[in-house]
Parts: sequence; C-alpha cells; structure tokens
Amino acid sequence: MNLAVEQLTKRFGGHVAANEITGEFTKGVYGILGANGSGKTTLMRMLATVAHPTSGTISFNGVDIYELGDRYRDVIGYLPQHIGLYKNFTAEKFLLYIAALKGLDKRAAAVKVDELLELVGLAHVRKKKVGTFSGGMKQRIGIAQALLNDPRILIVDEPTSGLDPKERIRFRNLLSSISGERIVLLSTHIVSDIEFIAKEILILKEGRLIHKRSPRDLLETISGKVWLVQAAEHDLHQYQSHYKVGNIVRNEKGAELRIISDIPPSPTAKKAVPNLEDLYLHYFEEDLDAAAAQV
Amino acid sequence: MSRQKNNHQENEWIDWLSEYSIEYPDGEKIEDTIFALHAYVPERKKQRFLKKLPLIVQNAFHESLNMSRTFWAANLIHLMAGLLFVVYLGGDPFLSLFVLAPIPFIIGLLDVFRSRDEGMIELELSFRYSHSQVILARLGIVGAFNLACNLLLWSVFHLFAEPVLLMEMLIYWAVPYTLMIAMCLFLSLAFKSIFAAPVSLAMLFILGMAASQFDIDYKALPGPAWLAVFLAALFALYLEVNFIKRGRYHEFSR
Amino acid sequence: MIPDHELLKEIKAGSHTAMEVLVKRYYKPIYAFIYRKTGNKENAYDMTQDVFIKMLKHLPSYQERGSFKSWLYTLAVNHCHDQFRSKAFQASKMTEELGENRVSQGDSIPYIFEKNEKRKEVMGAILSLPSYQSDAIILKYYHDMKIREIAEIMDTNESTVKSRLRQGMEKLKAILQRSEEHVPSKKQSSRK
Repeated sequence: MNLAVEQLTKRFGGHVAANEITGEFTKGVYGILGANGSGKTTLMRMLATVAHPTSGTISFNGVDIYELGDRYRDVIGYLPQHIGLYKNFTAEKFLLYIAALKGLDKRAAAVKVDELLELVGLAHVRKKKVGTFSGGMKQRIGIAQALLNDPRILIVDEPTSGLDPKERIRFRNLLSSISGERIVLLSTHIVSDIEFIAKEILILKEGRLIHKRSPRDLLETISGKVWLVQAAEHDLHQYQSHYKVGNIVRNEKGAELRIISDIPPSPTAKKAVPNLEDLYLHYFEEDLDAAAAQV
Repeated sequence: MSRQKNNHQENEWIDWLSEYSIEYPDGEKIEDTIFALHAYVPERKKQRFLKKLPLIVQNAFHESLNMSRTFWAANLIHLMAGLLFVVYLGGDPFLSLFVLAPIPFIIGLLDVFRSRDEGMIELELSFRYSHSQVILARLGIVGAFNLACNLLLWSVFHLFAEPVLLMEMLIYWAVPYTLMIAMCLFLSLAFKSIFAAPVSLAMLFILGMAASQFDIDYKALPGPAWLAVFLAALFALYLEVNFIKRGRYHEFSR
Repeated sequence: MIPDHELLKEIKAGSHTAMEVLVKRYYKPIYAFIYRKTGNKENAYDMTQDVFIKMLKHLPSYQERGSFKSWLYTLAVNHCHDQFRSKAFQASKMTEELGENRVSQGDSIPYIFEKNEKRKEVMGAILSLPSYQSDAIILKYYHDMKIREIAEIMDTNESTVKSRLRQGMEKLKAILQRSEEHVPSKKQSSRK
C-alpha cells in the first residue's frame, strides 16, 4: 500500500497554498505539523479529492487518484477540520446517512454503525441529536463516519483543536487503536498529539514541505541547539527578545529558560536533550503563543 | 578488489539460484485449467444500464427519505390550499396556481442544498457518490414531486371547476412556474438557499399580485412571446443543471 | 494492453473472454512461484488452478486496494501456506522424494547429471527454508519484485521483508558454500 504525492502544488490566484510537495506514505501514522496557513489543510483536501491540485500528482499504488475516482474515494476516510453535522439527526441516523452516501449496503451499514458507536464510546447516546453533543463527542462521531467504509487511508485534519485536555487524550488513544493497517495522515499544531504515535513527522511551512522524517531523525536536526539557561528576573526580557525561548520555569534565583539557539546564549548555558516542543519552537516560533494558548 | 570479489560472489549466487528452472505444464493442460475456470466466472448481469438505473432511483428514493418535514409539509399545504381555494371557495384557479405552484419547489431547495449550506459539503465531496449527482438526485425528487402535484391540481380543476385551455396553462402556470424555479435555483447556486428561498417567495407574491391586478394586459401579450419566455426559462434551467453537474455551486470547485 | 482493473470489471460483469486474457497473463508467473515453493510439477499445476479459482470466487467482494497482481500473489502465498500444513500434502511429499523423475532429454549424460544434481541442490535448499523466508527470496530473485511489493503481498512491513531476505540468504549461502567445498566428491558420486 503506497500513497505518493509528487510536485503537488495548489494556487489560489497569486497565493501558493501548497508548493511542490513530494513524499510517499505507507502503513503507519504520519503527523503533519504546521502553523495556520502552512498548507496543511490544503494538502489534506487534495488527498481527500475535495480540492484539485493546480499541478502535480497524487497516486495510490501507482495509479493517479483522479483516474481511480470513486475507487479511490472508496478507500479513504476523511475528517475535515470543520465538519458541519446535520444537527437534528441523531448520532445513529447521521452515521447511517453517511454510510449510504459512501455506498455501503443497508445491512452492512447497520452492523458497522453499531460497531463504530461502540468504538468511539457513543453507543449510549445513539438516539440523541448530534446538535446537543460536546466538541469531543462531535469529533468522535466525526472519526466514526470516517471509519464507516473501513478506509485504507485515513485523513484527519486538526482533529484535536477545540478539545479539552481530557478529550484530547481520549481522542489520541482512539486514534492509535485504529491506526493498525492503515495510512493515517493527521495534521495538528499540537506536538503532543503525535509525539508517540507518529512513524514520521512532516513539517510544513508556507506551503513547502521542509522535513519528512521519523521523530528521532527530526530531533537530530536540532541536537546541540537546545540550551538551559539560569537567568535573573531582570534579564528575562533581554533573552526573550534575542532568542527563541520555550519553557520558563520560575525558581528562587529568577527563572530557568529553555532556549533554542545555534550558539550558547550565555557562558553558563547547559545543553539539553531536544524534544518535539523544542522542534516546534524552532520551526514555528511565531505561532507558539497560539499553540500554547490551546494546550 | 573487495568489491570485485563481492560482485563475483553475487554473480555466483545468482547463477546458483538460476539452476532452479521451471517445468511448465503443456499448453493443453493450461487450456484445461482455463476451461475449468469458466465455471467460476460471475454470471452475466442482464443488461448493464438496467442495473445502473435502479441505483440512481435507489439513490433518489433514499434521498427522499431524508427530505425534511418542511418539504413534505409544503407539498401538502400546496395541494390542500389549491383544492380549498378553487373547489370550495370558487377562486380563480389560474391565479391560485400561478402563486402556489412553485412554492414546494422553492422550499425544497433548502433540502437540496442543505449539505452545502450546513457545512457538510467538504466531507461529502470525499465520498464515493459524486456530490453533484446527489444534488441532482434531490433536485429530481423535488422537481418531479412538485410537477406531479401540479398536474394533479390541474386535472382536478379541469374536471370539477372549469375546462383548462392549453394557452391558459402556458401563461398562468408553465411560464411563471419555470421562470420562478429557474430564478430561485440561480439564487441558490449563487448564494445560500436560506437566502434564496424567502427572496423568491417574496417575488412570487409580488408577481402574483401584479398579474391579478393587471389581468387584462397580462393576457393580451401575444402567444409567441409567452412561448419564447417559456423556452428561455427552460434553457436557463438546463444551464443551471449543467452548472451543478460540473460542481460549480460550492467553494471547492476551483 | 488492457489494464488489469478493466479486465476485472469485465469479468465481474460476466465476461469469459476477459477471464481468459487475465488468466493467460498471470498463469506462468503464478505457476512458477508455486512450482518453486513445491518443487513438484503436478502439485504446482493443481495448486495454480486452485489459486485462480479462489481469485474468481473472491472477485465479487474484491476491493481494489493494492494492485491486482499483488493480491493474486497474496492468494498464491496463502494457498501454498495452507497446502503445506495439510496432511495430504505432507504425505504426497514423502512419496515424491522417493521418486527420481527429473531427467530432461537432449543433453549429454554426464552434464545432465551434474546439472540435475545442482538443480536438486538449489531446490532442496529453498524447500528447506521456513515458508516466509522462501516466499520472500523467490519473489525477490525469481520474480524481480521490489521490497515494497513483497511487503504488500506478504502483508507485512518492509523491514520485516528485509530481515526475512537476509536470514534466508544467509542460510542459502551457507548451503552454497558447503556444496562448493564438496564439489569434487559430489561429481564423483554423480558419475558413478
């Protein structure tokens, strides 16, 4: 099983939302990291055949997905970032309706809907209207609809945004339990979503694919650039304006700062083992505030 | 040196493996196998287009189950009001149909474009059935059902109120009806149906009032002019359906 | 050439000609694979037929997820696996080993014997491997497949395939080396 994108480009007028993205995906979870506007959503929409590339190709097992047409759509499950649910459908009716649109026959659909409601923990509210659901429940019904056709390729766009931490953990567990024999593409700007489940991480910035590597290899790229610095209270601002500062831990002598820098930010700086949060800071410093606000 | 040696070893290894040649069966035996396999070829489907047709009908039927209550209510009211007005109150059947006929269609468009208007379209575009086919199926149901109701009303009028002439059908029903649905469909394609429907309803009532006020002038327009307007409206509808086929009714079409 | 998926569509719709075209396209490679797995002409012939029957039986529910070729090979791999476990096969293998019927005609006698000995040696070596290793080796070296394709066929990941190949090759090379050391004595024995 192999999903390959080559030189994939999407332009909206003069704006290039995705710029010559090339890469290959096989069984496993891929985390797509990027800030808002980095091209994550555009990439995923193209993979879900919702948006058409301006140029470049996407192929599944060597065949262009537009040539495969509904045979390709048969093997994908897609959860868009903003899923508009029919609010006055019950959970069960909603899934049955989607199953029909996906081309499942009636009996298969009923069985599958039962199974999935159970899997995502919504069996007890199957007769409730989805309009009354919490954000986490809506995402879970979203993932359930994506799984109805038992897709080989699962595409989920920012599934955890807007969830509270508890819901997010629950969602993460759900995702790792269903990833099994599929290609899972998951975009997020929250590193911890994918830290332990991703086979590879893709870093997108301004429409370009900067990295596509295993988490370990990615961390290698910033090894030796993460520092711990003990700073006095009055120096804090100085550091923050000159360096990329991550975690700040207050202590009696001021604060300990986690800094990403090519050179030691101070003579007393100690090297630290990089983690994915550092990586994110390294690539998306400007968006960190937004991400932090969501964690 | 060592690479040469490796190459040499590799060649030797391939040579060694290639000793294991195949003894293929005779051509005749292969033919036997193929003969045996004929029994396992799936049975030929009767006629392929007949198989496809029920799928579209099935699809349409399934969609009809998901039409909102509002749509069915609109149709029911349309029928009841039409009958009441003409049969019991002795109203003018032509004017009443002028105003009533397109209403269920206009209301129905809310259902047709529901997935787009409620933000489901991004998801539905990733499904097996092409979204424009689903839209057209729904449009087909709304249109067909509406047409059936209208014809029913006409025949009731014809039999119980007064005989209907073809010309009257054209100017009081066919023309305003097609014109209204063409316009409402256009508005739905360009904007949300939730906006298109009330605007269309308002225009319908204004037109209806105007027609009843200036009934004599209205009737005085020459026949070919009516026919031309009717054909133009049909052509507009055709263009709109083509638009839908090409998916040009949502933000993802570019 | 009509692509596989077109033929499959035709077959699903009941076309017998499409079936013939498809089977002729894949008969030899599938037969070759099974033959090398079994080392026996009769078994390979029957099993090849079984694999194609299975293919046709499963066709109505077949969802084209990978290439058809991979799917067909998967059926072949699994069918061989099932057969090897069956008692009937074990029994037939025993009698087969007693028989000596592999001499082809046309070559000079001493050469045939040497050739035949070597062939039997490779066959024996490959048959001695665990099934999953010989599957990988046969697909790689006799069917020129990429690691990725083999992984798809064997429904596993690429690193597993690589390690199966490595382990299998190590075993085979050990056998090859041993045989080279014994070449003189073998030649003698075969000429006797």
